Amino acid sequence: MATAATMEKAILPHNPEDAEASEYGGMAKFKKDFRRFRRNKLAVAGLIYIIILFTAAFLADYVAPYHYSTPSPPHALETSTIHHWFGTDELGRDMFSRILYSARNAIIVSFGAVLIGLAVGALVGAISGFYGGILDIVTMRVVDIMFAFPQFLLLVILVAVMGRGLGTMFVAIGITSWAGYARLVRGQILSAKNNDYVEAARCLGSGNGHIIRKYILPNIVGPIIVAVSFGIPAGMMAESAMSLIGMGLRPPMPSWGNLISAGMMEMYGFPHLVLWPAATFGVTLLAFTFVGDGLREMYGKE
Amino acid sequence: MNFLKFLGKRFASIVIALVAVVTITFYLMHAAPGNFMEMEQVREAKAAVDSKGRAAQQQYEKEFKKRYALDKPIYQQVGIFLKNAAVFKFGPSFGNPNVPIETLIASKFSITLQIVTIGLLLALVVGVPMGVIAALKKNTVADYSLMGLSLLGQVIPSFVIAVGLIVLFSVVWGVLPTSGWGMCKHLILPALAIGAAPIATVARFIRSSILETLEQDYIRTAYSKGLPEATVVIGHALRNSLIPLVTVMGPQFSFMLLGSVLVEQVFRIPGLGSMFVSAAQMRDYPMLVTSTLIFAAAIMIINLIVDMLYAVLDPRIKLE
Amino acid sequence: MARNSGDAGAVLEVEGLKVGFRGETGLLKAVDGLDLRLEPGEVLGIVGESGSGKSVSMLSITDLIKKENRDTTGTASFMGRDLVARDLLKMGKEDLGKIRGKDIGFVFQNPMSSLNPTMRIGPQIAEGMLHHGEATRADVKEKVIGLLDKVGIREPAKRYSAYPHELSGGMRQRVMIAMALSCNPKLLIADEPTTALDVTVEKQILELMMQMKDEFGLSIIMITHNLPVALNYCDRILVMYAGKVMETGTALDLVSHPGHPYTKALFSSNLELGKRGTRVEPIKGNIPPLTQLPSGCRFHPRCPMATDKCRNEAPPALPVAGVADHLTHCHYPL
Repeated sequence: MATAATMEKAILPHNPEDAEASEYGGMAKFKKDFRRFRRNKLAVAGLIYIIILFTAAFLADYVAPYHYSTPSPPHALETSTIHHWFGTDELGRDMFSRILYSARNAIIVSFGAVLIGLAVGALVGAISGFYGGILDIVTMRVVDIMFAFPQFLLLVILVAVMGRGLGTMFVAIGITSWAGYARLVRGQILSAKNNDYVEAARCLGSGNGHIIRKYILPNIVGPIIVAVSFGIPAGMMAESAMSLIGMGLRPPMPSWGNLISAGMMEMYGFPHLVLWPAATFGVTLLAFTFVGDGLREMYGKE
Repeated sequence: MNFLKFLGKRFASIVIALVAVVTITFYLMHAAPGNFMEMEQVREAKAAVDSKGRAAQQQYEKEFKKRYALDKPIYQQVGIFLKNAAVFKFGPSFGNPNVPIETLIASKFSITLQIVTIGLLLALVVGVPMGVIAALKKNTVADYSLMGLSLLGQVIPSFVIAVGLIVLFSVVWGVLPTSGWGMCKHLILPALAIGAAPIATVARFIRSSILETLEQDYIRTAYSKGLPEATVVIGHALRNSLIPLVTVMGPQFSFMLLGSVLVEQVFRIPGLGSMFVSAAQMRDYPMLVTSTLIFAAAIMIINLIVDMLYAVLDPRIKLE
Repeated sequence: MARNSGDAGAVLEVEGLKVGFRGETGLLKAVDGLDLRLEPGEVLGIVGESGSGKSVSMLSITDLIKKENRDTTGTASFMGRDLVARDLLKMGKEDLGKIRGKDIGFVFQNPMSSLNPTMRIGPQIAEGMLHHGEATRADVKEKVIGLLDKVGIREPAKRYSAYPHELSGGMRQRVMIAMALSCNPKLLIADEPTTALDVTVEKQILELMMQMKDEFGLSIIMITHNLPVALNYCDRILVMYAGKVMETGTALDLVSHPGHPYTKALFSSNLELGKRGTRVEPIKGNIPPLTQLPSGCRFHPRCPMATDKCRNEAPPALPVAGVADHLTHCHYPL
């Protein structure tokens, strides 16, 4: 029986890569693309660092030698020792553990923010791009207004409104970032929609669902992944910036921003309090940037 | 005529955007939990009145609300604010009821502008030569180290760079002050901290732009005229690369303006950024709305100027 | 054919020029043994298909092709305005810079991309003149306007301040010619000067170049793939294929008695040159890639007369029909 799918396969010109992809699912294509990623040494190094960081952060309760708020006054303000690899702060809390827990909070916040921003933005962008018309025009005006509002300022105001804390932080960051994802997804859908493949498929009678699954989704996955890979460090930066100005996570919850601003008070005598958090933060951001560049190379050829 | 039409359309869209920003801010502020009465400055002023009994308190509250138009519905408050804003009158703030905000803003904004302008100059004066050298010495140690440095400048957030600079110049070497304002030496580190990323971005951009330009046919023509390498690179390649640089500078300016919020905190500089932060922390609504408005307006105007500048510089572009 | 009075020596004499590019797959021999001699006042055409090495040869001896990975051997003796012959290939960057633009002028293929789009054309011409000391800041504008007038640009004073994109293709090429001639060179190297132009404009530009030749007392090397153009405007022609010279001779010699199968095939494959009533025949086969050059005579895979000798031995230069100046690199001259 000739369904639209079989007719498509017969009539539309075959791209051997697509054939591979559709036969074995996304896996074969992914493996091929990943090889391109592997060629970028920096990206691979970044990925390894991130994996280690993630694992350590999630298992923080088991990995960290101390809890982040355990004070130990007799050991206050020590620099690196066997027991305290990164030293201790003014209350004797272990810096290594505090940094590890900061990493965990940063990951939670940034991932949550990206999830929210992407969910809202992708939905809005997809509907707007796919259905077009008045809905699209109105939505794009709203998006334009969101862009007119400086992102960081909006974040500060939102946190002032919603209060400080882990949960409000990632919701707030998500709210300031959805517009970017909306524009991206809409753009991808628009260009995929105008693809010749789609026109041909429609002529053969394929329905919307089929078109979305087969032609549109695979094409938009790449840019979205790249955007996410840059959105995560952006979220971390936003969170730490908020903590720096005292509107982020409440102490004793550690955040990279918190540690840096607290460390600055004791800078003259004990620079290790500010240097270790700053250095680890910087390295983490670099790692994400390298991975993002690698992903961009990987998906860039589309 | 085309030019005026273009300008008119842009101004209209800027005004609409600013109105939207102000409206959103107003609605958000009123959604915040907590009463104005509970805010510190207000509390202090109130304390003086509190002792005089309940009736006096209520009277004070009523007068307070009336003065700041807080008793009116929100959309009316927005209207009043915008009407006054159009003539640059922003009213008094909660924290300092005796000083109209427009006076405060003038001095604070100029401070922020000083830092950002120096940052911009650094981006050009340091970034462009960096990019040129990296392009000419492509794929050598010089190129890799310059580009590596740029990567750090772009990825590391400005406040982390600020902290690093302070540790290096104040703590370790003790040549520059950690904080404060008033003299030349207070300008250097903040401008550097905020300008680091733009320097890096400019350097990378110039490098790739020059490399691309050097592939063009007219470069060969220039050499065929017998011109020396320096003339060709600077007079032809760099000259053509500088024009698109203008489009990069716009976003860099916005980036620095917003970054100043953080850098001013780190260096404890009394600029517009600090004003915004304290307004948010203390729920000083008039101050908050005004500073947001100024930031957004500054960004949009700079983008407009950049677009116009680009059209002027590139003889091939005509404004639509 | 005008000759500069008192000049006895050749303007340009190239011997054994070889240009190779070191690539990942080996050495690409773009030019493999080129000899040419250009007399004063002569127009020499270098004709060939793309990849024949015609542009590479002239651009290499003047160092306009990137030096990285380029190996150039041979001699290229050029006599400049001071009437001293020097080997271009042995000259340093600075010295070559003094010759380019001043003793040798260049006209390139695509005038739109060959002119700096953000600079007005007047200053672009003036630049070279000021650098070589042909004019001072005070009189350069006047001289440039005079040049523009000479190359046939109307309203030259107004056009001085025009941008390249404001001019038509033909006008842009006239500007390039003005630029090339601005310092009174002895040699003009024109690399496909009319390929990017309309046919009607092409004739104007070629006529202009001939006119300038007489007025300035130039010698011209014209690089083109267009055989009819070469035959109409060049005194002598050099036919190149895959990096080697196939035949050299005067235009008349080539037309009346082509001595190489490749030249003959070029005639038969050209609409304009074929005899009425005969078929137009494209040359069978493809140009070999520079990494897989045929042994012996480079043309043998596509030559209808190829023998074993052609496959194994590179042919020497042999005279055609007894004319000493008409040489063909074929074992069996026609």
